[in-house]
Amino acid sequence: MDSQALRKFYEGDAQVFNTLMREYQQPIYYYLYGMVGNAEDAQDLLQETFVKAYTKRKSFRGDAQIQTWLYSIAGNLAKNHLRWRSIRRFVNVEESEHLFPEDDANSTEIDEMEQELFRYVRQLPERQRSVFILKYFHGLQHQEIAHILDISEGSSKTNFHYATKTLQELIEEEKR
Amino acid sequence: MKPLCHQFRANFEKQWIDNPDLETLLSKDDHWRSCGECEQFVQSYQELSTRLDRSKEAIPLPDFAELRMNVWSELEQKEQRQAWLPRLVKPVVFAPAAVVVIAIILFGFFQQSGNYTLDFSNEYFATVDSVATADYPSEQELQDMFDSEFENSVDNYIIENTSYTTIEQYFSNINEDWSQVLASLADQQI
Repeated sequence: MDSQALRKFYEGDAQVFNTLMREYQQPIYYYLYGMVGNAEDAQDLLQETFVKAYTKRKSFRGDAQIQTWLYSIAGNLAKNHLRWRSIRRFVNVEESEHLFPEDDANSTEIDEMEQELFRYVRQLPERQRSVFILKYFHGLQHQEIAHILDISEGSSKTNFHYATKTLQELIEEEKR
Repeated sequence: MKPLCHQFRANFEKQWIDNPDLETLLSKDDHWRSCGECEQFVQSYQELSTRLDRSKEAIPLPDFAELRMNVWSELEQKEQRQAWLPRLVKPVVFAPAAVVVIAIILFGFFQQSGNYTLDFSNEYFATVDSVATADYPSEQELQDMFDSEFENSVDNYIIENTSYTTIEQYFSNINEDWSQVLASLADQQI
């Protein structure tokens, strides 16, 4: 985003914001989907991400890339969502089963390949999962990931390494 | 493990961390093609990549155009809510604040007026008494009262501060009889 577009974005220009949404809707959706493992929630969170980005546009200082800023908004929303979900699960198992049908093995909404992704990626700890999705599926630099997740660059690399190893082990285990 | 294999794997893992693009990585070093163990090592990465890429393709995409419209409509609703918010917030915040301020002012006023009432009531009743019970004295009467008071004061001063002899001398100039009375009283050491 050039400085002119950035200025228009600050001013709340609808056209600039529409362009921004078009550019990042898919990668951020994938990120959110990888994080929450549910199309409906990912869609809601994506919408929330853009609403928040627009309303808080003046807080974007421009010291990072706009995609980094958008990912960090999405990441925080996903993290809160997962926290809320784990609390709900803890409080009421029956309710969580109703609320999150993707956990149901017989769910017809999610096909086998989709399940495969979540059999692997969703087993990763939250931070490893975030790092892995952002690196593998979005090709972000570790420096950017570190900025998004508020961790060090070294930590981002380590998390990615361990995530890879865990996923390889899970695939190996499945073969046996 | 052979040093060559060790070096290959270490480099591979390092590069994978920075750029997990398998095609690029495998084209950089073809040691794995001639080494069975390293080929197996590479295969675990190939399998992981294949599965993940396939999984990504399977992710159902939403209707993004509709999603963007939803974003705008939510923003519009938010703006409307914000326009109403001050109207709601102002009375909700300012009314109790105004009540508190008024209460403080009233409390202070009554506390002060309570003190004033005490002082005022004393003065008031004193005035009422004087008005109700006495005729205002004339100027002459006031002068007489003053003279009388002055004389009494002088007398009292003299009595308190002078000896019987002085009193005797004083009274002897005024009234001889009184001088005698006082002299007899002094003799009796009364």
